[in-house]
Order: sequence, then structure tokens, then C-alpha cells
Amino acid sequence: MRIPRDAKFPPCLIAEAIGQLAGWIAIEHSQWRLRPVAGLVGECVIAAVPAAGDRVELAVEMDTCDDDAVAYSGSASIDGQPFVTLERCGAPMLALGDFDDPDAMKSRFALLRSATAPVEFAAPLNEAVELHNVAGADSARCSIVTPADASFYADHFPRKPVFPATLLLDAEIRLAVLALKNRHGGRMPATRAIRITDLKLRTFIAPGTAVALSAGLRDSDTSSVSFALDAHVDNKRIASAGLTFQWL
Amino acid sequence: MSSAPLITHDEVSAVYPKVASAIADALAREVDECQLGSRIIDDLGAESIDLLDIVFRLERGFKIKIPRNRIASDARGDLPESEFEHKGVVTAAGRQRLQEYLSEVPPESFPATLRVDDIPRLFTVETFCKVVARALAEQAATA
Repeated sequence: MRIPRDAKFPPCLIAEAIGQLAGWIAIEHSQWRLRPVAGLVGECVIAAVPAAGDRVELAVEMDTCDDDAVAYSGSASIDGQPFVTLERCGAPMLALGDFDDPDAMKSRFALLRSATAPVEFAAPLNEAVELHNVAGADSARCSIVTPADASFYADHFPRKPVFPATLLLDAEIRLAVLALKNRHGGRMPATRAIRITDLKLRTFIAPGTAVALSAGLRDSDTSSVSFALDAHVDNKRIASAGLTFQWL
Repeated sequence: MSSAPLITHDEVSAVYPKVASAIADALAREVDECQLGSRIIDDLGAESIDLLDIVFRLERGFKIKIPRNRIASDARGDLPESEFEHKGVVTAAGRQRLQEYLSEVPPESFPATLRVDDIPRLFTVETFCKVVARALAEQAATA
């Protein structure tokens, strides 16, 4: 894939792209009957933010791929240097037809594997959701409302619009960054890497859903700071993760 | 006809600490809360994604493979699937096999009508200990 030149590109989308690659492998393996829908990420490390125009190579290693679930790890590299790694990822396999047209998916996959596959992104990426009612210092809270209508629902998914977990995670990270800026006089300290651990997504988030986010400070020392991230809908936890910023 | 070989108390005890730790980590619980008799769903609050998480953690922790429907297939043993369940409901014969296999689950925990989809609701920490012990024994036997 190539990083687009004219839009913001949250680094979480790189991790999403690795997951999508695993997804395609699993879908083809199931003979276009099933697809994985995101559930678990053991660890994701983001060590750099790609620059516009960078060519990124994605790689995936499938540990398990059957009709019930997939387990995989993966990476994204520039010039052979990994800058995003995913470990211990897993997802249940669900009926492909509930989310996509299997024939359309098959055609698209054939195109992606062909020499004529487009490299550039076509859809705009500047669609981070706004954080509302941001409060708290070390433990920050806010709310978001998933868009009722957005371009990314067309792909995610054609038959069942679901707010992407990547964008939920992006919102949580932005909330944690706000909390850190509060601690550091409005500045964000220089970061060597971001590490996300034990990310778990419990349910689909529909368009137009109000989600309460929190980023609770867990540990802090001279080399890193960690948060516990949570997302709730109607007081029910729908996602959680650990987030660590490693300082330069 | 029979289901899978029984697992001894010693075999359960041998794997329990690591199984309890994996379950505690998956469910963000204290290890103390994950007693052998703790029901994964009703006592510890697990959801379907958590069951997947637990299985993955056990596979990595013990270096074993746990097929996704292992418990049901082990309980069924050589009983044909068509005799184990009918239209998503466990038959009387299937129920007997399940009760024998899930010997750690009190009989009164089995509802009068048990849907196949609700079998995981019966699982306890000990259930997963037995799955792990069985997988380890099979691995040792084929080594």
C-alpha cells in the first residue's frame, strides 16, 4: 500500500490494513463463506508514522485459520524496516454474506492480486470523530457519537455498517494524548513508540451510537506512561485495551 | 459407547494455576476469583469473544491446539451428531453424555431444555482445566 498524499493517515489505519490482509486470506481460505470480524489484539506496537508517499509493505502470518476463528500476527514495513507490528491477534469467523456480497468480494480480491490493482487510496481518510465533553486530568473521559453516515461504512461493511474499531481506538488514543498534554503543560512529550495491549472488542458499534470513552492513567515513570482504555455504550463495556507511550 | 477418557483430579490440579491465570487475564479478574467451580459466563462475566481469548491464551500458554468445538465433540464421543442434538437442542442421550463429561458441573445446573448454543454457559474453570489436560495427554501420546 502507499500512504496517500492529501489526507491525514492515523497510524492505527496501518494496523487495520494488516488486519484486512489477514481477513482476505481467511475469507479466501473459507471459500468465500466466512469472514473474520475484529475481536482481539494481543499487542500492537507503532514505532513510527509513515510519511506521505511512503510505500508500505504488509505481511501476515496465520497461526490458525478455520471455520470458527483466525489467529495471526503481522507487520508493516518501509524499506524492509518494520514500524508497526501486531502479535496474538484473533477474530471469530462469521458468515460473509451478512457483511459483504461474496461474489463482489471474490472479484475485488482477484483485482487486488492482479498487476493492475490500484495502489492509492480512493476514499478520504479525514474522518476522525470529534471528542465531546472532554473532562478529567490524569484519567480523562469524553464521549463520541459514531457518524450516522460516512464514506467508510460503504466498505465496512456494505451489508452491515459497523463503526470501525480502528477509529474507536484512534479516538481513545487522542483522548489519552489530551490527558498527557494536561500533565505536561499543553505539550506532548516526544514519543518513541506507542504500544497497545490486550485490545478486545466485544460488540459491533452501529452508526449514530453514543459511546463513552475513558483513558485512565495506570503507570508512569521516566521511560513510559500507561493508560487503561475503556469504551461503554449504555453503561455496558464494549471495548478495552492498554495503551503505553514510550518516551524518547 | 463412551465419551473421551476421564481426567483425574491430579491432572486438573497440575494445570489449574496456569489455566486460572489465563482466564483471569482474559476476563480482567483476580486469579482468586477463578476457582475450579467458577462458571465462566455466569460467575466471571465472560462473553463469546472472551471464550475465544481464553482458548487462544491456553493454546499459547500450554503449546497445544484446542479445536473450537472440542468440548462438545469430546462429550459426544462416538455418539453421532444427529443423536447428540436435534434442531439445536441437545437430546436426552446427548445430555447424558454432557453430564458425564462435564462431571464438575452440578446436575441441577443443566436446564430442562439445553440448546447447543447454551452449552458454554455450563463451563467452569475446571472444564478448561480438563480440556487442557486432555490436549496435553494426547500430545504426549503422539510424541
